[in-house]
Amino acid sequence: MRLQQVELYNFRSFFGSHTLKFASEEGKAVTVFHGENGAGKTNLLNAIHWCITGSFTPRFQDTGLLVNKEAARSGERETFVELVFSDAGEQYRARRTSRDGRATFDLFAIKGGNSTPISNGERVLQRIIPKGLVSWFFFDAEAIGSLELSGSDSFKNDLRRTLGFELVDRLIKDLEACKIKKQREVSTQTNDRELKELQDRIEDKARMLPIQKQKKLDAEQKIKTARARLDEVERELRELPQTSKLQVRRASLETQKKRSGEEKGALQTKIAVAIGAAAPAIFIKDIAIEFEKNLQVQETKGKLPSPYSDQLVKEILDNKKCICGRPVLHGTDEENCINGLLKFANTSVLNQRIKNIQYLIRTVEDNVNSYPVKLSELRQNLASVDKRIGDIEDELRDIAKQMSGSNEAKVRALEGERDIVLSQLSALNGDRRSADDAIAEMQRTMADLQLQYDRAASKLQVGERHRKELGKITRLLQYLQKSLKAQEERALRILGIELNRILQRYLTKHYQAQITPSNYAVKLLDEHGKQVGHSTGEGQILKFAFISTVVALAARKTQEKIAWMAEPTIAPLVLDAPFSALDPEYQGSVARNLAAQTTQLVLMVSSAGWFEPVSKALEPFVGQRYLVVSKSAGPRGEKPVKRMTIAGRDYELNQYDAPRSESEFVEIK
Amino acid sequence: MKKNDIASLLTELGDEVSRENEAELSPSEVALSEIAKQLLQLERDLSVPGVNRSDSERQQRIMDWIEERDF
Repeated sequence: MRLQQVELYNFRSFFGSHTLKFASEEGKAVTVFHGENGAGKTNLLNAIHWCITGSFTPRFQDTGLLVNKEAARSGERETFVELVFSDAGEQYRARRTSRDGRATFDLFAIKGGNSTPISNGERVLQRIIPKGLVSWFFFDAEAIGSLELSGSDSFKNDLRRTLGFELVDRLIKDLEACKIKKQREVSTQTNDRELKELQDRIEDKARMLPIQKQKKLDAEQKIKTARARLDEVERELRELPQTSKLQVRRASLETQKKRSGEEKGALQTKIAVAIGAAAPAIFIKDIAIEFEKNLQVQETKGKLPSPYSDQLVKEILDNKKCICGRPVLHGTDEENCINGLLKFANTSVLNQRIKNIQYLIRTVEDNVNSYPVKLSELRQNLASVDKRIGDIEDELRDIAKQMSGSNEAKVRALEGERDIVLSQLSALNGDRRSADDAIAEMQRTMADLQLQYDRAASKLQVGERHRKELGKITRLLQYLQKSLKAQEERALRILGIELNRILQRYLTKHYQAQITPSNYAVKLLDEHGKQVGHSTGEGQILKFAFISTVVALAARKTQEKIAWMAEPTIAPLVLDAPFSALDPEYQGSVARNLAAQTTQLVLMVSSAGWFEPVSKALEPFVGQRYLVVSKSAGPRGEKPVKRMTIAGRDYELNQYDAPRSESEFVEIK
Repeated sequence: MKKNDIASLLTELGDEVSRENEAELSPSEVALSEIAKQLLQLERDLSVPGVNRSDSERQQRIMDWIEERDF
């Protein structure tokens, strides 16, 4: 997808119609919108977001009030956003309209200057840019802190879609459905009751599994929204002078509590392991003691080990002479008697075995004796961590009390909202865990039922044709699943290598990114292999680097090299305020990386956010530039006029005494 | 950073992939690989944007396609 043009009609702060063009030429594909905070940049981002998805970025407020206030006052009830874009050589026009609060969507194909409506426009647009991916490509970069590279199912699904695995995923799902249908035909053909019953149960689980997976995805989506809201509330509390210190302290305590919780978990595991290791010893200790007593009794009685060795007996027989001096001749009673002694002679192997047993018994006793000390030490450590957690919780409760008991209504309201969101998060995490458990259980049951089915079917007279068709589908499935896994690993390897190349180039510290293959969670590790928090400056870089790497990787169609990345998503990266959340030392490198990695880049930046390293990095690539000017109908009085210098020319970013209060675009050539 | 970086990395790894593939595929896997590619093409054609086809119609079409082929 490449954006060409957007038209806003009475959308939020924009009165009337505004048409903007996007830069999209190779090497000059950056469009920049400069404007002060509150000028309307976030409105523009959300206009594009809403046109494509029908929804808004998490921090966008008053989503029900879309029609420009001035227009609404003069009776206007409608607003729309129309986007012209190209994708895979075709040109499209997408228009989303809201009238009296009801939204409609239309998509047109543009050919030879004519627009032809496309039926199921939403569906077609979702094929071009799936909803789940929009938040990757169009986002409020000040909220980058809340972007989770967490390894949730929705994160993994979104990433797989971006990388183009959706096609083969869909084929595998279809083949699994085909297999179930074929199995149904087999069970009908054989008319076997057991087979039919198994098939019914398989189909039942196959029906319920996607529902549970959707429940999990829904919970994850709600968790994402709730976390974004929590971050927003906590940010507001941090910014209020009366609560700033308390909120900072609370954030620090919560981090400590989380770490202590992890330490507690590790200790509990150690205790369980220690008990587990000691339990057999404790259990067999009494038996072992009895056994040793028995051994010693035998020893005392001289039977085990025997007081004479087989070596001695053999020497006597070979020398034909007993140790007392008497001859031991062949065929005599003496020889027979001494031969008989071999049966009970002590051999070196037997000796060693007895010593080993005695050693094991000693070890069991040592374990039993030492484990209480070890356990007591672990328990003491656990008690100390528990106390620490208790102290932290006390202080957190105290902070919460101070916040909710504040004189300021705003503080109380924010604190109240925080409590509500935390409760919601707790419930949602519970829902996600339940869905996870249900999915795991269903998958286990399905695998088991399939085995039973295969076993039962193999005993029956299944028609050759059915057997052959089922065999083909099964082999195809196995081959696709095996090859997909290999392709995935390669894609993740490339992602990891590229990500680390960027981090190596731009970070001042020796950090490394690591991607977990099972859930695609992305971690940042320091030089000691310890995980670095995603909320640190380096963590922010990781997120930007990750997004731009994924976007760039998706943009490189490589079907012939990495098969089955068949439909990667290519879309512009549209970022609102990307640099203000970054540590100053990284702003230039992030800017450079964004310009280099993306096929098209649209940035909304305040004058304060257009830092010197950023402008130096991006200027060569800027193909289109606008100012978002904030106009106020009120008089200027003592109020400031904000200015910005671009290419040696001064521009005003806000104006007073305007005919109406609104935001306006000014193209800078 | 050059835009070539990913492209050259992909080329590198792609060559490695091709070499591995040639060395490791058995004759039946070679046949399955070809069938899988054609099937993916079919899956893509059956789910092209704007095409109004239900899941069960698509799956039936795939089953018919598999039945028509001997492998």
